Amino acid sequence: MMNITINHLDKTYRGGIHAINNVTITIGSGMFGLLGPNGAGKTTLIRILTGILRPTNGMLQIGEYNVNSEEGRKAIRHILGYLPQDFGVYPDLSAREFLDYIGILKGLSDRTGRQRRVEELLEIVSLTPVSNRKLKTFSAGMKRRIGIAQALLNDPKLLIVDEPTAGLDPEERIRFRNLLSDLGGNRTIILSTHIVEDIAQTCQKLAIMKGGHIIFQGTVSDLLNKAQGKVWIVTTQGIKPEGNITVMSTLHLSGSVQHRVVGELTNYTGAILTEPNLEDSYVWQMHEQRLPIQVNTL
Amino acid sequence: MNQRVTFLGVLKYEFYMQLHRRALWISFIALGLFFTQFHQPWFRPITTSASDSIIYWTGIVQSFLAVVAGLLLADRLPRDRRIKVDELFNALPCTVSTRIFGKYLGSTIATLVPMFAIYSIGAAYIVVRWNTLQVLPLALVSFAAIVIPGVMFIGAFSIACTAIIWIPLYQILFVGYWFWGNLLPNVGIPTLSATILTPVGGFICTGFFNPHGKEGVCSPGIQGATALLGAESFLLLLGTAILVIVALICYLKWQQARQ
Repeated sequence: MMNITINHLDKTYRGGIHAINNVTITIGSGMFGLLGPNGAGKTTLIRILTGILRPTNGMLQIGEYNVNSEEGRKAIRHILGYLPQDFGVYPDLSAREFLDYIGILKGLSDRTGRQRRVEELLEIVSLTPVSNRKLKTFSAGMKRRIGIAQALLNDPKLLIVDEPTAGLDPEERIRFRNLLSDLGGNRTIILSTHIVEDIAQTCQKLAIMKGGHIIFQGTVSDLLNKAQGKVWIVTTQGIKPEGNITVMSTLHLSGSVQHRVVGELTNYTGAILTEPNLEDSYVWQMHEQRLPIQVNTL
Repeated sequence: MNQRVTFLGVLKYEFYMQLHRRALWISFIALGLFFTQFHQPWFRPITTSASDSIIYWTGIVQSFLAVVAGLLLADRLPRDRRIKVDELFNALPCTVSTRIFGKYLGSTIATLVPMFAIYSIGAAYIVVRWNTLQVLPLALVSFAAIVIPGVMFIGAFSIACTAIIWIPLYQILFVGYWFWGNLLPNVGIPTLSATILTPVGGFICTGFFNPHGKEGVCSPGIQGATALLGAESFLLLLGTAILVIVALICYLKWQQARQ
């Protein structure tokens, strides 16, 4: 079991940009979602967890390692698997060669063992048939699969994936989610994303970040409960409902328009209360913070 | 973590990637063909020394092709940032020093391969024309003594400088400085040309292979250079290259700590 404890973490970049403000969070084993809009501070937090960035203030403990120290950061790298948001590859290496190179950089010194592990992972991510092709010929989805394969080379206790499905088509996205779900077990997996559906399909626990702060931490059920009584189906003749609400979707039917809205709805006859999904709950949570809302639809 | 195995692995893959660059081979072959039209020992009378021709050919290869090596090594470090592998690498257990030394040695040795290929063609022609195999060991030794330390020296600066200078700017400054320094050594800006750090190999060539200062052997030669000075030059070029890479590693670690 790998527990992550973050206490009062701050990160201020040069120029006075506060990327993270007083973040306190606990992450246990299993899949953990880190949700938030672009610019929320998710990637900054991820980079601090991976040891790439140093926090300005605060305490960060990953398992037995204190990540505030250089020794702790070095130790973490040995048990970490990381798929960055901007994941690049050497275009002129084949998939097999690239994974072998990363395996070397991860300290997998035994050549036979490393090659066996590379073949296993190519099989897991379904890239064995194209393993000798140059990476420059790979699609975005295939490169992402190579990304997850390299992250798993050292069988990490902590796996961090940052925006893994951004830019992927629906089929690739589903494949990726299924892959991540299969990886759980005794690992701690942190999935950082702005796509609510990714969290909904894979995580039981999550945190939401906004403006460098944690504005929610708990289970998916807790988040869903927060939006109980706040999600409505409103049917109109075409006019969008107004008020302190967010229109989640608009469906044109014959003769009328059906709106799914989140918020405090008053003075609408015929509005039907409905069960919130995770996206509704996320939007309601953002709505409560009285900050501009970004709704990411699939 | 076995740092030796990691270092050799990095060296192997950086060697492989540099060697498979089409631009490397095209540049060397094109410029090799161009420069050797104007500077070559082929048409010397057969009564002249084949050894002198080999040494002269070594000097020409270094004078004109080492600049290509410098240009093609300049992008090796910024490339990692450009293709976005650097963030992943910074999260891996491999140390910065292992990675940078492996990158430097792997890329530079790979860059020496086409230089050696072109050199070998010229040396083979001299062997055939003078009909003597006796100059072959001299060819190998002179390449190792004159070309390798110079290219290692240039390679270190090319890889290190582009950590802080925009690549095209470095390449323009480097080419300008190289030709200005070697063609007009006493005009305008100070250069390394007549010093013991000259990467063209003047001290090494004269000191080891032309101690009597015969005309038409070392290009360029340094009057009065002894074997001891040649050895000093050889060691200083390699030592400075290592220091430059160490300085680069320190800079990268400092940069990372500031983030």
